[in-house]
Amino acid sequence: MKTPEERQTAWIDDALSPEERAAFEAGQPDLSALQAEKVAAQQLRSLLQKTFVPATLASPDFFNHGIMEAIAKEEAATAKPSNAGRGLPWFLQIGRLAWAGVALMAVAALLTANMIPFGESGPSFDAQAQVEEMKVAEPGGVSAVAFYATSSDLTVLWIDGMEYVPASHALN
Amino acid sequence: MFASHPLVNPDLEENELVARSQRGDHAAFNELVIRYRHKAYAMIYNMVRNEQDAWDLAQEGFIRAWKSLPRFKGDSAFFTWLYRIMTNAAIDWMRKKQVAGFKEFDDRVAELEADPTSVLVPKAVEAPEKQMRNREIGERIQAAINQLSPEHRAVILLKEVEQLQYNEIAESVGCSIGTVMSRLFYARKKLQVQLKDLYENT
Repeated sequence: MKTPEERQTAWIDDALSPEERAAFEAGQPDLSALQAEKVAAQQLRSLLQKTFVPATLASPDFFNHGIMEAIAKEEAATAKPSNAGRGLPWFLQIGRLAWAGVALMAVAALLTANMIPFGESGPSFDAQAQVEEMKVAEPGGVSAVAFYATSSDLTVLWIDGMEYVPASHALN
Repeated sequence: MFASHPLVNPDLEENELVARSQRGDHAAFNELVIRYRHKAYAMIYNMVRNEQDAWDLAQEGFIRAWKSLPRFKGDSAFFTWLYRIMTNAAIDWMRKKQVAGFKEFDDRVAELEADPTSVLVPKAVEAPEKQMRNREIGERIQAAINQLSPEHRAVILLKEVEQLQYNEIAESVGCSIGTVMSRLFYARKKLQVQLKDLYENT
């Protein structure tokens, strides 16, 4: 406590030791004025405590839910890029390559069997393929299209937008 | 009702809950929120005086606390540390909001406006006689509080309403104990000047 303001505040709040208090009071030319300050501070405290009564938090469970949900979302958002980036485990990277390779080979096979004409009776893709789009509930916008060529009895699964293969589906 | 957050033993010591939270245990942190949500909300509400803003700020404060938990060393009580986050959030909000009638308040201005040697002797405040009178008093006090800077408002409310000690306020606001006492001195003076007629008429 250095400044007069600090010492007076401590005196008003009864935060001085007996020695400090005695020294402070001894240095005051008008102790009654100081007593009046103390009364004023007490009045103010009383008014503030009457005005600022503790507010009640409505729907406390929902309050918690919002916090925990926000934390979970942020953690999911920060975790995803690291899995898809350079820190990806080696087996997931291999799995990713394998998936891409399988998809490319399947597309090549499909093109060979259906898109390249083999004479007049060769089946056309449009006529003999069934196309179905599967919607995947993945925030990253992954979509998948399955082609089934009846002539060659071949199914192709084309996955678009997949940045990584879930660990449960990784090739080991 | 919100069963997605697994429960932890509510009898766990705070230190254990903090340690678990620091290791990423959501359930432990959920329990900490349960323990302190009412106090945190009430403290922020007193500063911002708006339920929705207080709700949002308290939630943001807890989320900030979760992110900062790895840096919490336990040098102070967890709640004091949490209070600091909440207080900072409220002060930031008040600065941005620039509430009506607000003007920048610093100690130099305060020294000019509130003469430390002045003596304000309020007449005895009698028990409020009527509800309307109480409401009027409340509005006057709120208006006077709004004239304080966010920092002075925080200090006076933490001291007089939350009844924190100087060191706890210093920890919460992030300043020295001397600064707390100085701010208290000038905030009180300022309020007493603003509320002088209220004292005299009650």
